[in-house]
Amino acid sequence: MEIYVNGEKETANPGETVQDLLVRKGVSGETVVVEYNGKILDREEWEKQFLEEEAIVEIVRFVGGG
Amino acid sequence: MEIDDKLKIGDKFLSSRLLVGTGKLPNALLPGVIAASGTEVVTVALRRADFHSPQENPLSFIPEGITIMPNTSGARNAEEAVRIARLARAANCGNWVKIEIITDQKYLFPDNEETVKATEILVKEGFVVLPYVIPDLVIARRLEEAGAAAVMPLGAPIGSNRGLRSREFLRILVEEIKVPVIVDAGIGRPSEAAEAMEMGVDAVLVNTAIATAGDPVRMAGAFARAVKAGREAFLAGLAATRKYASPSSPLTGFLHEVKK
Repeated sequence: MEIYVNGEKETANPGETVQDLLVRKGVSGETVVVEYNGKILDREEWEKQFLEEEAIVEIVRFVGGG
Repeated sequence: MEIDDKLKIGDKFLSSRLLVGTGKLPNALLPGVIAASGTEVVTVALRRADFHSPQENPLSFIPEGITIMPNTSGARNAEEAVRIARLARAANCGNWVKIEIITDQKYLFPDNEETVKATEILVKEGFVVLPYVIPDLVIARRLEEAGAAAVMPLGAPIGSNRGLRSREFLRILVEEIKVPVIVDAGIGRPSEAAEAMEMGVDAVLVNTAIATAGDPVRMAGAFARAVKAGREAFLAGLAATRKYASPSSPLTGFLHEVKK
């Protein structure tokens, strides 16, 4: 199944959740915000949201900025 | 400094009138710069996570009690700014947002009209909104009507260190706008921060001038003192300027005087 993570096409495994994706990407959950198909996902929803075909996932974090 | 000379923005009362941007600064320098600047508000940006070269979260280097103001940099229109603001708020670090909407890549001028639109939406959603704008009185009034917590006009293009090039327009905003006016962008040296404060600007936001200084921590301290001096001078009331000389010493009792 294909999904888009931060603008890049990726293959996701069936049954994978957003939480699984974050772990696979080596992202520490404390520091990121996740948007799934244009909707912000609360932390509690990360392990409930299964990745779907063509899903658009944005994983963002803070950086220095003016 | 007068004890009650606090700057009210949203629901906060700030003692320091220097806001600091964290761009171009290594995380390790953040605690020193923040302490030396005395700032109570710092800006950060939101970006896609980079899985190939993970970076440490700058927020873990910012001391407790400092207000975090995410900016919407990267936004090209109101819709994108609103999206970034909502994402930033979901990170649980408060409801302040600096609106920064830019399409021009050479001078990084903000899009004032889109900024007004984003301000209207975000104020309704309960954000404390501080829009970055070109100093235009009509736009500033619209932002004020829309409920902006402050307006942040530029002194000169972002990162240019060119100082208060827009001073005549800043002066008009200071005179006419009731919400705090914060000069954001362009201030390159402490004397320019002091000049802005002397003009009656409510605060300044400095990033590049500190972050790219030889010694950013020391420069943060220099800015802190300049901002305080400028504020004090404004409160004291600057003496009038005049065309001709006016002697400081008495005009009587000169040694060369001979009574005839």
